[in-house]
Amino acid sequence: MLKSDKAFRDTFALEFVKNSIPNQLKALRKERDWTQDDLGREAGKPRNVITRLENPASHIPNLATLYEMAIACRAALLVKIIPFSRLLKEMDAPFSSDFAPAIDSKEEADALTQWSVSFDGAETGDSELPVSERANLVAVGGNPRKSANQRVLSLAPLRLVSSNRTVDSVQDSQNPTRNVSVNNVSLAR
Amino acid sequence: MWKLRSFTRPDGTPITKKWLRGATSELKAAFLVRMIHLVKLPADGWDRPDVGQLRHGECKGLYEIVLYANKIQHRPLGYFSGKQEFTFLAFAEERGNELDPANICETAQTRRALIENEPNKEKKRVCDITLLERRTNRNAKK
Repeated sequence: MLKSDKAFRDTFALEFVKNSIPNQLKALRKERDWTQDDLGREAGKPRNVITRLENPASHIPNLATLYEMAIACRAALLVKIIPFSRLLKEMDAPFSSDFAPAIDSKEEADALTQWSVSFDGAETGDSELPVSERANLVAVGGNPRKSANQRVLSLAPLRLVSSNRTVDSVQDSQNPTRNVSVNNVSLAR
Repeated sequence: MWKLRSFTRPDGTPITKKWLRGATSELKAAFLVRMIHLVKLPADGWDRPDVGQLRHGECKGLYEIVLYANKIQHRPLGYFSGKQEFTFLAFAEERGNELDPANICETAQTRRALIENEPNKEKKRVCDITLLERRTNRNAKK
């Protein structure tokens, strides 16, 4: 499914952003023993805005808002474009401990082939997907400006990372991949 | 890390499997990502707005995963069946603050009782579920 179902991958990437932004903000706030009011004061925003930002069902905030939140948390905002298989690794899920990062199209294809969505412990069917389609995982349509924003924001995983992780991420970003599929936004301390 | 379990049909098939087979790609993705996030959180992270506790009537003691996909509010229902363990019992949709089907909590509670009251471990109507798995080399497609 990860390899053959484009709609699934697109939504998976979108849902990742929708869940990871609120989770990171909430985790960072709790790490500081801040209430939503406290974070709101730091960010110069009312509490209901913080509540909304911490809700996965809300609209994905724009980059300016994310930057403001990062600054309010004495953090930084890091935006990356990464292969889909890298997203799986970045999710730091239990399945990813031995997941090799993809560095080119072949490895990306191999990486996606090696994983399947299970839900019940049994494999769901995957069929081969042309490399050309794998390389074009971002669905964009309609208003060009809106679409560009969606490309940056809707599919953008947001991450809070430690200072060590940040160094790693910057080094990684100097190693461009050919099969880029997913944007990644990070808040870095 | 949390363990996820599912009530099974008499033939041993997890109910999650049937539900997801009929789900759209969007719903599958929403469910998968939400659970991947949740299994990494401490117990107090399983709260609103991601997870809701049902407190009234037949629903008391049950919890719902709050999902929105294809303009529909989806509500997988389950309960905390052990330390860092969540068991899915039924699946519903929410319309106007009411669960649909209306008797879904009754169904879920019946299933919970089947799981908890079956003394014979072999006959227990529950199984572990995984979200993503790595294929073995034998199964990986070239």
